[in-house]
Amino acid sequence: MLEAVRRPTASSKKMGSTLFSSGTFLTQKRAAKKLKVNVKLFATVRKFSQKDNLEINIEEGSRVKDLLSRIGIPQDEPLLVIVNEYTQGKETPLQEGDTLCLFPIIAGG
Amino acid sequence: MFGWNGKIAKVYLTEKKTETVSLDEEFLTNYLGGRGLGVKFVYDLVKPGIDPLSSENILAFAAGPLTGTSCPTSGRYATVSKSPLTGSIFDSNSGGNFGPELKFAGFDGLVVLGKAEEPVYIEIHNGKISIKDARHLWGKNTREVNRELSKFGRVACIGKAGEKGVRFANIMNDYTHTCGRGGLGAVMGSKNLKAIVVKGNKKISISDRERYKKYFQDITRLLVASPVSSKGLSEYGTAVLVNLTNYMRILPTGNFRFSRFDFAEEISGEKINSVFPIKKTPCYACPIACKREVRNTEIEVPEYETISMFGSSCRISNIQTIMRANRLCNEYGIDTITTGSTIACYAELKGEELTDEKLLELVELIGERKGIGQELCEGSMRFARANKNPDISMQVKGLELPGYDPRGVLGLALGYATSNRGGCHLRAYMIGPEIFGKPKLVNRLTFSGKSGLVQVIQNLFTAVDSLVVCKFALFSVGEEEWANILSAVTGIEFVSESLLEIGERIWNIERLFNLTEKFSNKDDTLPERFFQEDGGVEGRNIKKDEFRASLLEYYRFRGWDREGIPTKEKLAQLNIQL
Repeated sequence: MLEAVRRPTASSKKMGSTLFSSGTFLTQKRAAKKLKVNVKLFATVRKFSQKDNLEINIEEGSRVKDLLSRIGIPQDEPLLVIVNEYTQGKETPLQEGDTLCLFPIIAGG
Repeated sequence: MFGWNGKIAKVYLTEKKTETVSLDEEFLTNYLGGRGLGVKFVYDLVKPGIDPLSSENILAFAAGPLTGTSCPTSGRYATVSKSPLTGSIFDSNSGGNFGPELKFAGFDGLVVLGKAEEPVYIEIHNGKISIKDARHLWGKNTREVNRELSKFGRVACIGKAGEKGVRFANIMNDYTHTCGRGGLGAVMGSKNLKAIVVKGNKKISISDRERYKKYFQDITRLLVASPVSSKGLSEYGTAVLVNLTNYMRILPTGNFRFSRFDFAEEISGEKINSVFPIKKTPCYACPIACKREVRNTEIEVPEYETISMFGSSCRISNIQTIMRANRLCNEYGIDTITTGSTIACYAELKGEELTDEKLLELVELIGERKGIGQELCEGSMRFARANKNPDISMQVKGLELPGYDPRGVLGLALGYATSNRGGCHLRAYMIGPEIFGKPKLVNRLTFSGKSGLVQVIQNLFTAVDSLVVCKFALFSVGEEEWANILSAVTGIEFVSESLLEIGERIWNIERLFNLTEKFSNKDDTLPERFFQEDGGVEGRNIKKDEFRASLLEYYRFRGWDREGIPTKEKLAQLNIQL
């Protein structure tokens, strides 16, 4: 239920909505339209790509897990997924302009 | 008695006398060991209002019932005293091998009272306690003292900073392991006590070997299966957090004026791993092995907190400089968080951009207590007050805040404010639920639901500090497993709830100690900066009314009155006599 925590999207910020008011999680695919998302890889996740920072065009309605497939990260790889400063799950739908940070499962203090 | 040795060493330095005191099983069941045992001794033996650096203060060292067994991460011990930095009761714990060796030497703990006339060290060898001449060690830093005394056993010692009364001087054991933060090294120095050396070959007796074996395997399996303990911490150490906290906008930058550092990648765990060949240096019985040094050198890899303070908070982007500052702190025996934060406070006060050279010079001046170091060695609260600018000290109850900006993690904000030892992330590590989603993800930008969670985690962490096991294991192993293995070791049945109750008992005793030291609900707060400024994220300043409402709710959950004083009913329930 990680995706239950709502997050502001890049587009909602631009429109000046309040922090938690944007919850339009798209679920159905719309043909041909693409989203542009930024992806940053950290620590052990860097082994899956030649670059640490990626800009990826992906079908509208895609979720985090679809993006992982595009990059070539196995679905069962334990990850800490941050979308626009919020911890999210792999089912979280993506939106135009999102920034994703992918970390291994880490902790510390 | 199983698990425990059932006795502590008492050393009266003024009288040059030593004594062995037996502890009964009921007492140990109520306080376990480590932090709990130390807190109880300090609460009972330290008179209200005394100067922490006077001979009237005491210093307790305590291991726990699991210390010295093969239980994973059980290589820790605690030190407890009245802090010269905060004036509060103060516990600090450390890994390495010193704690287990104290148990092998036949004791669960050591209480040091009074003050020696000349520098001394204490040696405990298989039940025999001696006070020995340490004049030849005085004026030496920690590595050298460790090297000289390690032929006699495992060493915990102070460096020059502890001798000179730097208010945030540490006790260092096994070279690089640290009882940090509250200046217990200065308490040791004020007693003319340079070091403790322990050695022994006593085996820890276990009540039910079959059950123990099963629970040992359960815990090991959980640690190996969890990516946190088997991969994340193990491969990158805590430094891996730098990029994460930077992107979450909670990386203290420029003395907490900002929450993001442009050069975070340069000081990150990724950078360290790409530049230096790393060797793991695990603590006793620890499969996680988060502690690291640069291979073929004796240079320690700094922890996340150290990097966040000397790096982003002081705006230093050279990882080698941060490593040098870390090394200097360990040599002198001073706390890296408070040292870094006090220097960041100094830079803000002076309006100065620190160079790498200046940072290292200031660390050295603090360690030597020379020049401006004579002012900085008092900690940022006293330094900022003396310079008539108290609000630029980023502290709670006199203890500098660690590497997480509370504006972006509101549960941790409440945890900082209510911590009995002041601004600390390790009393309730709310980064777990608020950032990592461990054990369950909660919304980090609301106080809603946090007061109950904070107090439960505080109670649990207090129990864990008393077992003593490592908090990093808590990301993978729950209280039920700890209760199970504790039962198998001691032969006394513990369940999750009994561990939480023990934690709550100790927490309340700490609170009572602080209340008699004139702390009040007014001290359960945060630096004004977090209420007034947003740290570079619009609207992210903490709303005072929301914070206060959450604090009152926290008191209610704790069974305290609106002033934050434990009620008679709560104390009776916890079997605490005033």
